[in-house]
Amino acid sequence: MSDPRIDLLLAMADDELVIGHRHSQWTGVAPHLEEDLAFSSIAQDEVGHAVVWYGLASELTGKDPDALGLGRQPDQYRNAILVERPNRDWGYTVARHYLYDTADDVRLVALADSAWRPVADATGALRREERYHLLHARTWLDRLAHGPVDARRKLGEGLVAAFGEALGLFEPLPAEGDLVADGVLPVPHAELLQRWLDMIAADFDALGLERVLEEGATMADPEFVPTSSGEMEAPATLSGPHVERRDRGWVPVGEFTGRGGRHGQHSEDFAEVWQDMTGTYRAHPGATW
Amino acid sequence: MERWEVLGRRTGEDPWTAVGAVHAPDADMALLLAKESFFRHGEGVDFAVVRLADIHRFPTPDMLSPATDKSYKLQKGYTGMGDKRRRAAARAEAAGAVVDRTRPEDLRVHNTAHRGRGPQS
Repeated sequence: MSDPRIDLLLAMADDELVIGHRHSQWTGVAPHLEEDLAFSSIAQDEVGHAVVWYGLASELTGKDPDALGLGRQPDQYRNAILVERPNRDWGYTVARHYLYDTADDVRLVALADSAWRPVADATGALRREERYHLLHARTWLDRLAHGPVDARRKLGEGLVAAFGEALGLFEPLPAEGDLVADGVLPVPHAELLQRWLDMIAADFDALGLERVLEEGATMADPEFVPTSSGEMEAPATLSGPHVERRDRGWVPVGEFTGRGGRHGQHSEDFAEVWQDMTGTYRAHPGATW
Repeated sequence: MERWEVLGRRTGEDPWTAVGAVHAPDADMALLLAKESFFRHGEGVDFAVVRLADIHRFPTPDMLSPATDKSYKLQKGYTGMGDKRRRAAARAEAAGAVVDRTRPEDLRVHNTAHRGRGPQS
């Protein structure tokens, strides 16, 4: 039985490493030079954060941080599916950047109270950079949301496309119960998800983007199919996640889409990013730089 | 009295740089005071003033200090690379590889055709 803390560290480290790698794919081709630099720099921050988490995982596993980051097989990575998706266009990039960094912020704030001191201690420095990532993401979200029409439309499409999979960032870890009981994860992912929904719903309300949550929810609604008995049944592959508006705001209901990452199940897009990310390391085993 | 930041350019090609500040009630007086304070000795060919209140400051300067080791962004993060390359070359040679050059050929195109030529007539 492996230490459940490794699952927590790898989930966070792999999220950071893979989103960092996706961000770095704007290097040289972003819409303008300053954003080219910004995404490249944020990419380096995220990979730096991954190194912090791999470093802690290294102490638990006895494996070299580089080997953890670059030396595993695809099904051993624990990142959420959201972060492995290609950048698509600027609207999707900003949407995912915003959804990911708000989620990361919620996670880091909670982990500041972790009973496992090394994790709690690491959150302070990381949040300093994450606050800048949030500032960057929110500035762009706000800018695109205020038009022109084309920008607002593309942002909306990006948010709708990314939203369902963003819920997968809060997929419970394999031994979530143990982590919560030990105080390593002071807040279970279900509660983190609710905190995150409250946070983004407030931003969306302010920008008139509530439709993202409605459409994100509609898109995630299962298609019902008639069964042999005549009853309507939702196919398992299309079930949930969704969110519904209740009295107190948006709440998650049902299953997660975008789930699987925390168990090593990835989308078809992961193979490409994994090849790209780990190719040099695997081609030159043991090389020093 | 308001504070005005003074910007100057040493030559026509140089960018604007902050050279100091003056206190003055309006732009005209700020320009006058700035000339006498900062540009009496031929320090520049051009200068300007801007109200400090009109300058947008970054609200959270603590974001400027990196959270993790970013020495790889600086030249000093790569000291000893020449030695490392020579050691690697020596190891390769000891292992029987023939090292005829340790760095790739310089394939850059150096365009010097425009130099030393007057305007075309």
